[in-house]
Amino acid sequence: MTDSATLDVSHLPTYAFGRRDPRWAAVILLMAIEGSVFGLMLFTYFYVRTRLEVWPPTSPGTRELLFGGAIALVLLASVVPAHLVNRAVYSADLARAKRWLTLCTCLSLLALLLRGLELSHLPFRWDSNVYGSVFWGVLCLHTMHLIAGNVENMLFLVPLRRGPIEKKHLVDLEVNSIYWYFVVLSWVPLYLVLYLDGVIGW
Amino acid sequence: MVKHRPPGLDFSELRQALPQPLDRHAWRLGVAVLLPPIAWSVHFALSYGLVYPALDSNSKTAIHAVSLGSAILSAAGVMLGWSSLRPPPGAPAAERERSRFLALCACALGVFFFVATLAQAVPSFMHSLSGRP
Repeated sequence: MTDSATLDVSHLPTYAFGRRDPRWAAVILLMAIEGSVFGLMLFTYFYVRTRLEVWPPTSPGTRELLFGGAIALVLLASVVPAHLVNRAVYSADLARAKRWLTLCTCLSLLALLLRGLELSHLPFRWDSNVYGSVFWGVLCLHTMHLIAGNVENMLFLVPLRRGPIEKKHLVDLEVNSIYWYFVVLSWVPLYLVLYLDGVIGW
Repeated sequence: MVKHRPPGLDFSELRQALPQPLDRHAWRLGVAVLLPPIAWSVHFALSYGLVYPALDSNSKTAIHAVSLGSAILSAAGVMLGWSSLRPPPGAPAAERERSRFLALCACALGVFFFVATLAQAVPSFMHSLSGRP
């Protein structure tokens, strides 16, 4: 019989927030991948910009600029309740987490509604020209993240209202907030490039 | 109906589970590992995008500058990894081992992407803008 090395890990917590949890690493990698895709879309935008003599071929109007700006404001406002969800989770206060997540979900649904209006008012189709393809591509990619974030928020609201909630679900809520920060913060540079360049002509 | 706290919650365990801030050594290791691949991928995309502007301006300076920047950043990754090979004093054995592994990864990645950047820069040096060598 041989002696095998053993390690006593009974003093460690059964769950952990932040980088000690694999779900945190997974969502960071997801953000890295999706951030790269957004970067490539913006690269395509600027690449196409250098190849066309008239830019933009069909400009989005002031109304779409305002819709995009309203989305940015609503999303930035939703960061506050998302952050407060995290704070509530760190103290394991489920009532506060539920309250702030409900507010965050309402704001994210409002942003999704505004995105629908923005898309329906665009003066060009995705197949009108290469500019339209890139513009629609960026918006649709971000809309997919908005939808995914909304679905996740609503999925977490169900157990928060009906139960059961276990300790490990606290980490899920933390990771969900981190993903929401990404959805919000990715829209700011996209909005600046698509609208301030396309409409105002910076 | 959900209770105010999850069942079986232990506050001392919750305190242990709270996120721990990254120290300087961990930040340096993270930057050392990520810097070379990010520099190379930006170099890869920009080199492609700068071909037509180089033709329009009849100058390859921007392409060479991007290659040089990427090579410098990859080399910086190697240096950061090399300087992180020695773990922080008083760190536990598992931490020292993890730190050394990441530092070696940073060195290897930095060398690899430095060479990859140089290899990709060769055609831009060899070919003229008119298409004739």
